Amino acid sequence: MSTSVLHLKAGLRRLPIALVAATLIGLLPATAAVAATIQAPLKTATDGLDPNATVWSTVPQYSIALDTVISTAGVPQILPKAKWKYVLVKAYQDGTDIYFRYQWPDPVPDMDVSDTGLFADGFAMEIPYGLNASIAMGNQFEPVNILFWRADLANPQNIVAGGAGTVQTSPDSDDADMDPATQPPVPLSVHSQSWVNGRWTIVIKRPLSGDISTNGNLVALVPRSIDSTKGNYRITFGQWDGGNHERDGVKLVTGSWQTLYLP
Amino acid sequence: MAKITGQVQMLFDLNKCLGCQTCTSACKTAWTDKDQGQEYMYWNNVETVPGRGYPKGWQTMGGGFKACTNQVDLSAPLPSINRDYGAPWEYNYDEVLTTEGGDATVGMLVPAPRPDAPNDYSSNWDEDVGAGAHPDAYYFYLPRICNHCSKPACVAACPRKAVYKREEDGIVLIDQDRCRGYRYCIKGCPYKKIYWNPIVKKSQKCIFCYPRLENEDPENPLAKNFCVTQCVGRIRWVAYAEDTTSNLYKLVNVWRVGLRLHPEFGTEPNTFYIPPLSPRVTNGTAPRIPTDLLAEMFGDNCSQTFEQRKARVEEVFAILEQERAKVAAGGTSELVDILTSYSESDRIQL
Repeated sequence: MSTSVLHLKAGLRRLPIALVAATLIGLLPATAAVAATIQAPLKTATDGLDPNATVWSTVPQYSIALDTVISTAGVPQILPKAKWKYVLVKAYQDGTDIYFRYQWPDPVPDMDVSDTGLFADGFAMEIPYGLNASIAMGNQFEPVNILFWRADLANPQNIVAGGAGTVQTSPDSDDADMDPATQPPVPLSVHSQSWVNGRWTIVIKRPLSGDISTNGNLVALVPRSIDSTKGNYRITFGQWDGGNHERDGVKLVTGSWQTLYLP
Repeated sequence: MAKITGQVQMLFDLNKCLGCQTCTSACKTAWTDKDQGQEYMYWNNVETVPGRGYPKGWQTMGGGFKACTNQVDLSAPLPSINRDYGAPWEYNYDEVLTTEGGDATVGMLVPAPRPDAPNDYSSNWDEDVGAGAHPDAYYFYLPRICNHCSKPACVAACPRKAVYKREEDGIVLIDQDRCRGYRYCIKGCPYKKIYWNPIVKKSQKCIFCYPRLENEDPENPLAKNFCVTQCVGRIRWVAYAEDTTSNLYKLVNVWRVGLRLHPEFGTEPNTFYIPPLSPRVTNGTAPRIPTDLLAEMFGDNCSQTFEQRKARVEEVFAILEQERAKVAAGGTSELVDILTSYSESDRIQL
């Protein structure tokens, strides 16, 4: 028997044990999420950053399930303890920009990182550049684009990642350590955030265009009405409860890709 | 991790440290005195032992590698700036310390720490408190920097690989562009020598003055680590571990008088300490600074037992006393010559 076959057999024997172990310690989602198609219809409203703007009552809402994931790089010392495990999503576009409104319950808003043991709440939306990117932050050859909101940041961070531990922030992102002279006056993505009565509501606004010369690393989003071969994009979400010291891979995520559809 | 081809090391002779904090001031002035968020940082600090240290209780806070394995301990709580380091404060220059004007009725410090409040603390808070009863009270000074460990727990803890160990000299640094502020490195470091900067939202630490090492001043080639060059007591030696001609090498490997601080943490620190001798207790033969205390702190490697460490401390004392006696009797001793350190070039050999 050849060495490679031996390796294959050994690998197959180990596989079920590895799967069980991975599930037990939470490396894999405990439940499979049903993928949704999030429609982002064309609207004329440009006041979407206001989470209470009238336009938001005219677009459909989706409830997206969230599962527990623990960083494969770290030791699982803390477990996400959120009880809600979902995020409510709405989206629309005005022909130039696209707006995403996210809502989830959180009894305590964590916005302060002024002490070593304080972590802020976070939320991320991830869109891959290609069709085959890993949902777990892409891989070396199939990177993903992430817009990362954290309650203590001035603007969402525009991120490119090619796998866990490879996050790179785009120069347009909020970065407290950045030389003010090199920071563009207007970031590509902006947001509003509010925490009212035990619920976070954030709106992230970004240009539809992904032209690198003007828009850094954003994945271009082209409505079907503009190009009949476009309009469908993969999207997924991550969520961190800062009060539970959640950061890095200790987070809730959608267990499978969702579809973002721009008619 | 890439192979480390060189390794900086530092040795402290605790018999010579006078606790003047000039090293602390030099480091503070050079590296952490300008930017907001660094007020409480002391990349170099000197603490009194016995004492709680900086941050408060760091010696039992956790981190490092469990039982000399390769599994980094991330279960330690994160030290709080206000509670464990002490809220940063400043002298109230405007109101109290100016020669004209000002309101002399306000406090001298802003914000003023209140020694009666349980949460008030600062670097060097325990200065000279020590332990024991007169006439056998005792304490000694413990200068500390990042140990630039050969097996750094901070590097192991960082999922971003933002903390790295330089191949050419083994200096451990945090890439400020890669750091995402997860603070696993602070949990991982058992010496708690990494600090959270709440303004830039990244972790920061001692850089072993690498810009001074990289950019040697031809007119002053000994202008290396600030904490070494400014040391009034001449207690510090620096050299590359590979330089077998250096005095540091001789102290650690030939005379074997340099011990590691808490080697049981498993990180293989690259700083060494000559433990402090002390007078005998009144009407007794035991040293005033208990050897047990020193053996709890110092040793050679992770796997040594307490008894082995105690034996090593006693061995170091025997060597020191033997060589001192030689000189006292009119003889010579290479060890005493090295420890006397007649010139900077005897100590700074990088």
